[in-house]
Amino acid sequence: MSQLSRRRLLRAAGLTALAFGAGPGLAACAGSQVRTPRGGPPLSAPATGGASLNMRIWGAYPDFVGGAVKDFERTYGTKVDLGVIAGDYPSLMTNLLRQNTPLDMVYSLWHMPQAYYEAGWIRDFERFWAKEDAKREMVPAVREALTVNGSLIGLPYFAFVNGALFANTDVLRKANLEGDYPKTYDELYAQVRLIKKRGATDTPYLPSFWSAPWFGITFGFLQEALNRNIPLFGDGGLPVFDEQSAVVDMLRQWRDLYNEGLVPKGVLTFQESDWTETFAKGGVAYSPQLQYDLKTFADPATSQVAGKIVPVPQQGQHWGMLHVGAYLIGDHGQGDDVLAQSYRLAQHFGYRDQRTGEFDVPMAWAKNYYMTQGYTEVNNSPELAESVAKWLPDPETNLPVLRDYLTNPQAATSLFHTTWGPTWMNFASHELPKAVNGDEDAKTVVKNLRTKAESLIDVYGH
Amino acid sequence: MSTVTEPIAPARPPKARGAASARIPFSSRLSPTRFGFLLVAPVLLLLLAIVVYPVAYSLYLSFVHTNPLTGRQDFVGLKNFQSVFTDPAFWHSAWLTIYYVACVTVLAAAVSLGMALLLRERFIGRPVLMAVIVLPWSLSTYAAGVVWRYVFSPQYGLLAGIFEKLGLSPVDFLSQNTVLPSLAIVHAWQFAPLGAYFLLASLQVIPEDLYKLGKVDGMGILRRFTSITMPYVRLPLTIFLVLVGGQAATAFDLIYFLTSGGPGGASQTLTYDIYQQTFQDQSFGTGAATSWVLLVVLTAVTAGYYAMAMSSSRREKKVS
Repeated sequence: MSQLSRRRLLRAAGLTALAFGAGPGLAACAGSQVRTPRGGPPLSAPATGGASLNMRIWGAYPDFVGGAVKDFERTYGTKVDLGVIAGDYPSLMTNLLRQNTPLDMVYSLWHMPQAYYEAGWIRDFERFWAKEDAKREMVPAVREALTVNGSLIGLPYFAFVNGALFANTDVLRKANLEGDYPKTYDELYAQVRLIKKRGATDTPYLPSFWSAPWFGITFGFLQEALNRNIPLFGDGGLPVFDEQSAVVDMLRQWRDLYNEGLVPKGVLTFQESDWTETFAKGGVAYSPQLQYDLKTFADPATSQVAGKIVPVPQQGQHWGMLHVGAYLIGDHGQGDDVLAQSYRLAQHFGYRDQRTGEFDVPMAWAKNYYMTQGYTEVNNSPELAESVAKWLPDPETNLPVLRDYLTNPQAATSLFHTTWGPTWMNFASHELPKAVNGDEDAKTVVKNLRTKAESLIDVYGH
Repeated sequence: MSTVTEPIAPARPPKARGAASARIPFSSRLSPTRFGFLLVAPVLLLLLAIVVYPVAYSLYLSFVHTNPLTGRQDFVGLKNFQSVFTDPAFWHSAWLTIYYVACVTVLAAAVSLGMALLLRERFIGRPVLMAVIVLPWSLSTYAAGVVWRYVFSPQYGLLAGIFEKLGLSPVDFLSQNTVLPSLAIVHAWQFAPLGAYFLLASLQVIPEDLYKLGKVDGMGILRRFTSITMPYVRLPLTIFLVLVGGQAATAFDLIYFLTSGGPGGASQTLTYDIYQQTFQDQSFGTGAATSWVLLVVLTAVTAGYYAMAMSSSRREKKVS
């Protein structure tokens, strides 16, 4: 076997070094790729056929989505490649969009698109032929949520309240408190103590997503602060809370709930499904939940408390805050023809279908899964009311309560419409549990949250 | 007589050089070294693309600041490393990583050695047991995470159910004080079978006569273990410890599935911290710097440990 000479070794090493240097160089160039300029005349609905589109979603009811995609393909002759992204969807999607992955339509929660839009990773809907009609028909709060820097950046996938307060009437009856609903968080926490004292259950309160996945505890924090009218973020996302803020006392109340064993054990490491499974198992009197999960709790196949869970009426104070999912269109340098096809796919899912003129997919979401929509016409339709009445206990009393939740929900717009909001929320999701389990004092946690927001403003600008 | 030498007509027209060599197989014309390089080239290219390039790019990232929105990159020298070393969160994660690695290696070593010793014995059902104990190792980490959620959960978990039957209240095994040992149990459970097979191979070459002689010499069970068994398994055990230690130091999926780094930051080891910085916070520079710190420390510790183990093994051989 011939020997590897020194010269050949050096040549190989040189080539390897070149490869090392060239790779990052190329990647750096790719990172600063020029995005599609904004603006342009409104587009018209395209002819059938044409481009093949890529659609990416998280794993909620993929069979239903697949069916809707097939309908679209049949109707319009446009191929759609549907992919489900498992795991940490927000982070994965952010990185896919950053890398110019050719994604024509994707799911997103409404606190992400501000950064996406300012970075030039998504197209807006300003050239969508039905933009004005869609905006006019949207619930005002949803319209505001999906408007970034004056531009409509997506169509609503869902709109409901995160942290809608549900009560288990069975436990309340045992505690002799049926119908005696709390009006504020202070009353709620007083009542859960009373329920435990009366021996109705050991863990009367299941808090709102006190764990890290999907920004869980941060959503709980934001919504309770909003409901209590504790200001957190001002105009432009500037933090207006500090160690003197009432939010410190709120966190101390959380710690007390945890210490007194009023909440189930393990809540700080719950996964997403644990929140519904624990409430559905029974034994919890009150829990702020995603509004659409009410149907899950009413289904005897998945719930041991079917027929016993009702929404707590809002009597002065709100329960929960607006939660909006959106259909966004990625910017991968596509031409007007592909953009028009993407608009039509988004329209099929997130507005009135172009051909039928009806809210086909939105209505199906609402009726099949109680995934309420960003359109009043869908949410207040007799069709949906009829469908909900089949599973909701005492619909005459409770349906108006549910509608009230959606009428004028509070929203964390001042934070969600910042480019750094998601990063702060990630940080908060690991910081807030420390105030609950006593790893850190509530004041220190609040101080850290403020410092983080300020440092992110330094990096991102706003 | 004159002899006329006629030019001999070539039987066939001369062939071009290339054509002549075309009859020789391509592989035969290559030197063995070149042929070797050619054989490994596809794998080498793959390794360059999926190992060398990302590693080199992460090194590059650790020296630049990348704007998360515009992608603009500015050279910042060692600033990212300075940020890492002055961040208390890094030291917290580093401590958790050391603690976690210690828990996993001790548990995995103990369980695998125990299993290997058990499997060396002859008893009814041994082949079945040998097949069964490999199951945890063959499971994907995701599946292991799901299984152990159903063991640990204080709401619906197996242990909670047993506690309830015993009239005890359920325990939160993933609380801030118990989360790392609990994760370490899962990790050790998954990797101990590998160690057991590793050690079993060494145990099976120990001559039975040595134990008999040991008994004759009046050695107790502990003495026989330390004087006869251990010298045979020390080196494979060392290799297994390095494997499982390195694996524990870079563990991510199990932590992600079971605790997401929580509660709070109680299970936020360095790997999870790197994930959070890089993918959730889009702080590519400090994420890359942290990963390089971890890589250098791991390499140094592993190399040092190997060197110590090898020199100790050489000393023992000399003595014997």
